[in-house]
Amino acid sequence: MVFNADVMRRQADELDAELEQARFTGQSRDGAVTALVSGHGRLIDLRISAAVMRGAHPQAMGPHVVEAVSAARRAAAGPALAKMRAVLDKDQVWQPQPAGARPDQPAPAADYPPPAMSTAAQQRPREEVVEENFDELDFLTDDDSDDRGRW
Amino acid sequence: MNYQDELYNLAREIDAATAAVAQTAQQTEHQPLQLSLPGDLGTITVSGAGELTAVTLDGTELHQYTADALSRTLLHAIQDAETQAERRRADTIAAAVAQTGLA
Repeated sequence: MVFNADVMRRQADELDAELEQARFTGQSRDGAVTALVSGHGRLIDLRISAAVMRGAHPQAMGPHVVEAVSAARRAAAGPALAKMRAVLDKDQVWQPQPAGARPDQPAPAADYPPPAMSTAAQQRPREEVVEENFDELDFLTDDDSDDRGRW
Repeated sequence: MNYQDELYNLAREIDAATAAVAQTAQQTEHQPLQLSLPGDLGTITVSGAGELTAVTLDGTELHQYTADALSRTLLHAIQDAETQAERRRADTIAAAVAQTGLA
């Protein structure tokens, strides 16, 4: 398998543009506040229900604003993470959204599924993946005895 | 000093510098940023990583706002606070990187 940095860079740029155009909404539990975020989680719009302002304690809506923004970001995080993994994991294939799609419309997470290949890749038997986890490898101390003397 | 020792020392230096930068980044993420809303309306708090964590509103000032006006005010304040926190984090990390000589 060949690692192609140019292809990965191009796919990352395309994904970046796609996430910037994607929209996700989230609501507070009482539905009084709605937040709209981009695929990156950037807050784009916030709507507070007029009914809340007429209520007895409109000052209590602060936590509802946080709830709505967090819910929208959670909705955005799932698909974004799956697509990023597809770009960064060389065993998977990422496809940009079809040209006919309308990324400017609010899209719930269910309408914006991760690519099919990523699901298939996750269901592969574990033993097929023979990769080293470099996070767990200490290059200074984990010396391979077979390589001694090569210096 | 032979080549292997030089390489080993260089790797240790890079390791220490990287750890220092990571620690700075982590410390910054634990420093929340709080901004006041215009007109003593309340405050917005974002985490050091630039994510909204709290909104407090003063009931005595709210009667001046319609739902739309309050939505716009909060939207701009949250965007501003998150941008400021992200910039502060980036600046702190950049300063730490420059200090370690990793750049």
